Amino acid sequence: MLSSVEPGSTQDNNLTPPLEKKIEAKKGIVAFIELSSPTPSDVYLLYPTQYNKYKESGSLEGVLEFKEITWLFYPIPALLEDQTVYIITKGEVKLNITYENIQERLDRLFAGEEQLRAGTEMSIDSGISMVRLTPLIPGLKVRLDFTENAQFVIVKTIDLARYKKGLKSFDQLYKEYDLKGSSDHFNFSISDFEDLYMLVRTDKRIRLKYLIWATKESAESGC
Amino acid sequence: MQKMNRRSLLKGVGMSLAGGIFINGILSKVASGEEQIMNGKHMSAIPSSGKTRVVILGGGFSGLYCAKTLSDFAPDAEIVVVEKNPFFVSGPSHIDYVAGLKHLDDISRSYDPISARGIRIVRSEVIHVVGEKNYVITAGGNIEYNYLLISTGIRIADEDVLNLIEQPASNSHAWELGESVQMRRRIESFKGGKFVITVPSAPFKCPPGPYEVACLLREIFDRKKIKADITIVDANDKPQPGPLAQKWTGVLNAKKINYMPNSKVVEIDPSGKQVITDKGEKVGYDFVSIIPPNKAATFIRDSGLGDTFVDVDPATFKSKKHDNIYAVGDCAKVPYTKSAFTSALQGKSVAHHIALAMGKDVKAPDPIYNICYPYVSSSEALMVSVNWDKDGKMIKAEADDAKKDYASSRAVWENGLIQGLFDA
Repeated sequence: MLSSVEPGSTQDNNLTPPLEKKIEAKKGIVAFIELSSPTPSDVYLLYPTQYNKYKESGSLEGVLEFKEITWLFYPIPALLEDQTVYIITKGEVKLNITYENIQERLDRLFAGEEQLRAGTEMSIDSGISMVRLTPLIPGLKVRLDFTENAQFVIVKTIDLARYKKGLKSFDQLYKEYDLKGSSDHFNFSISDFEDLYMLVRTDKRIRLKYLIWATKESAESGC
Repeated sequence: MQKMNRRSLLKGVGMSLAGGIFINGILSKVASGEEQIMNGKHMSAIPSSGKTRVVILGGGFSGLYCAKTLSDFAPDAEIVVVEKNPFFVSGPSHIDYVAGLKHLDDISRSYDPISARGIRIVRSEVIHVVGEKNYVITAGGNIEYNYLLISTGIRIADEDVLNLIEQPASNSHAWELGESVQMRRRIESFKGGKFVITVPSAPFKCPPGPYEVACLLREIFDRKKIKADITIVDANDKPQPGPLAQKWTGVLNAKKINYMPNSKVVEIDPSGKQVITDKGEKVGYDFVSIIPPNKAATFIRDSGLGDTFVDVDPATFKSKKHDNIYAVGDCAKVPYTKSAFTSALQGKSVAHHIALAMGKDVKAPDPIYNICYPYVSSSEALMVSVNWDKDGKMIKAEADDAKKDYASSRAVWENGLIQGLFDA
């Protein structure tokens, strides 16, 4: 078990499957977990009640899951109480944890600093795949990098539902939306609270890395 | 104008709202303090009084607290509140109502005491804001302003859940009065089975609300010895608001309420009695309460004031597009919790800023803070409080476990908010 440490410090761990790791962040601290893996791995983040359920039944229903990832950067904030999460991985990963003081981070955000908030590098199969970009709030900046050119369109929830239902096609959505492209990278800013999903079309298996940056404006949005 | 007793009106509304919405037919028979402007579309709805006019769109907590505070700061100004509903309903009490803890008459007030302060209450629906020319287009005509406050709250975006807009009778929730009436009736006739509550992505009005409803329903069903399997399908990764996430997780677990985070409902299949998430999971139900995404009124986007919420400076609530337009409460893009309490404080605060803009000698307002007491049962509540600085930066947050005292505090808290408007 890792114990919580002071802000600014980091911990490195090499983990081999099957892995369960308990991470604790003390009140007022955010623990940024950074996982990297030479081969695509599945990673699950569980809060204590979810972990207990998993231990009882083996169920991972409803937990935060990252499929086929080679890199993950994710915050675990402990705003009012000590926060515990468990990481379960199916694959060999290297884990690095950085602890920061939430209030200091907020102060720097309000002073105008842009901060990496979350990021993922994942594999995308050939054909059309869906990537959930939520949760998004106004002011966040997003950067997408593909290892090869890919055609992509970023849609709202209702159109994801229509696409899944066969009521709208990829090509139709591509015509209708502004956030789209056929390239190996894309940058955009979030302007409202709309949840967004990316549909990616590629003729070969590629990798996508997306990074989400927090700004002063996103801090003023309140989430 | 025909006058109708509010109690009898409420009884009528309760009986006629099985469809879940207000109908214009009853809107013409309301308390005497309101003005009707149903005629004269696209004409000036209110003649100029020659005074500085402040128009407030929305007669909820934030709009009314602004109106009342501003009437003290600027007694020479003409204050006009445009509100589409015939009477005031306290938002937090929707939860009490669906759980059978309160009656409609307990949670509503006539606008008469507001009118008695010299504040004009105009019943109409807002269509557009013409910010460049300082007037509002309403269903009943145009209203010119010197200063405009937008406080229209949230709009329930049924259209964001596939099939919901075509099948409204399949659903009911506690986030609108008509829906609450329908939900209470359905709860009273519920015989048992799978009860599913779905939660939209934050931000949404009254963040603890979905979990409170689930807890109160557990109590009701246990008391009635009804076998119910309650499941919360949550688009968020943890229960809301964030500061209460761990408390809620423990409470839901103890009450054997199933919790499915990271699951955003995107479709309802009424014939198959199931909801479908963005991950393709299908969750069956006997009773479903989908809380659709909470957005601001569409006129805000159409008027170029923001998308989805009004773009404002969180310190002054002033529009980023127009110097004489302000927005507060649930329709504004501000860092404050979408709660009745912060809405009331934002209403008071923006009154200071408008008065200062009018050249009045008032002090700068205090920063916004929030406190609320979410139910975990009819006799116990949690406590959460958050403080922000004057620029909207969160500087302190606290949460506490469920206590009987907090349930009492909740009653005092809400009564205080209502009495501060109508009885003071």
